[in-house]
Amino acid sequence: MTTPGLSAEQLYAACRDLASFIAKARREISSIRPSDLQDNKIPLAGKELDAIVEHTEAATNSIMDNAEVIMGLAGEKAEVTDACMAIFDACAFQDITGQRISKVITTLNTIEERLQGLQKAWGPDLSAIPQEVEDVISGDKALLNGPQLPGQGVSQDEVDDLFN
Amino acid sequence: MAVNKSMDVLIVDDYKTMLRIIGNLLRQLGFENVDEAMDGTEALQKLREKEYGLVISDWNMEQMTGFQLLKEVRSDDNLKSIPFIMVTAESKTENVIAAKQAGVNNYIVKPFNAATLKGKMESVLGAF
Repeated sequence: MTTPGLSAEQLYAACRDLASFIAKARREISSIRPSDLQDNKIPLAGKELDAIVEHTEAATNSIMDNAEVIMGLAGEKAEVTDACMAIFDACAFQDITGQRISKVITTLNTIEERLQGLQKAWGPDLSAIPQEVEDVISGDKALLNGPQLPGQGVSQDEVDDLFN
Repeated sequence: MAVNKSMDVLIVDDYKTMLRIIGNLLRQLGFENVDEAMDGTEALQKLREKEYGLVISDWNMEQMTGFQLLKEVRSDDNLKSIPFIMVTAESKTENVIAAKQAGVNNYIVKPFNAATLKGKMESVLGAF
């Protein structure tokens, strides 16, 4: 049986084109390596962002600690107090950047969920399709992985030990 | 009438940095009795335990948002007259309108400075 208006040959050609399109789409999707993104890159990006929040929070608290000490030493000197208050005002950046980073993390989570859906829709064999794109980083560029997340790098003491 | 600077002020924010900044600004303005809460739920509990003269709250918080807290406060006969200032990064017009309709006394967009906080407090409490 054929579709009205289409000959058997035309129908066959349409099916072949469709199969070719699907195969190409699978290769394209495979090339973005959804499992790698889902399992490694997106969780790592989330950790990096968490680390940014932690580091900026620690730095902000340190700045405010010292501003408070200066205010205490300044006593009634209005100019010093005003300058310290301006420092406190400026420290509000941490709250704003923290909120922006939270929004980025939410977006990453959404992408992760979509990738999961994509994996399910295309079946478990998606990762078995040969990769067209490989991130082969070699030479000096392979050394550019910092800054490391807390606990992943070596401490200054450990560096010093390597020199002694 | 002079503003009673010995009143209890409750600041609500889920960022400790922000609590510290606002707390310091308030103390510089002469308000020494400053309590803190990390979200609307904790704030509501504190508001029901003690009489506060002013609430300064963030909007975007887990558990209970500042907007929900505002509505809870305005619908509670014992709390509804407490002056309430929203301090938030939510700067869309619809947010400001919604907060105003819910009964907020003033609205400060982050980031802000000491002069802005003082000005908004004076518009709510009177000059000090």
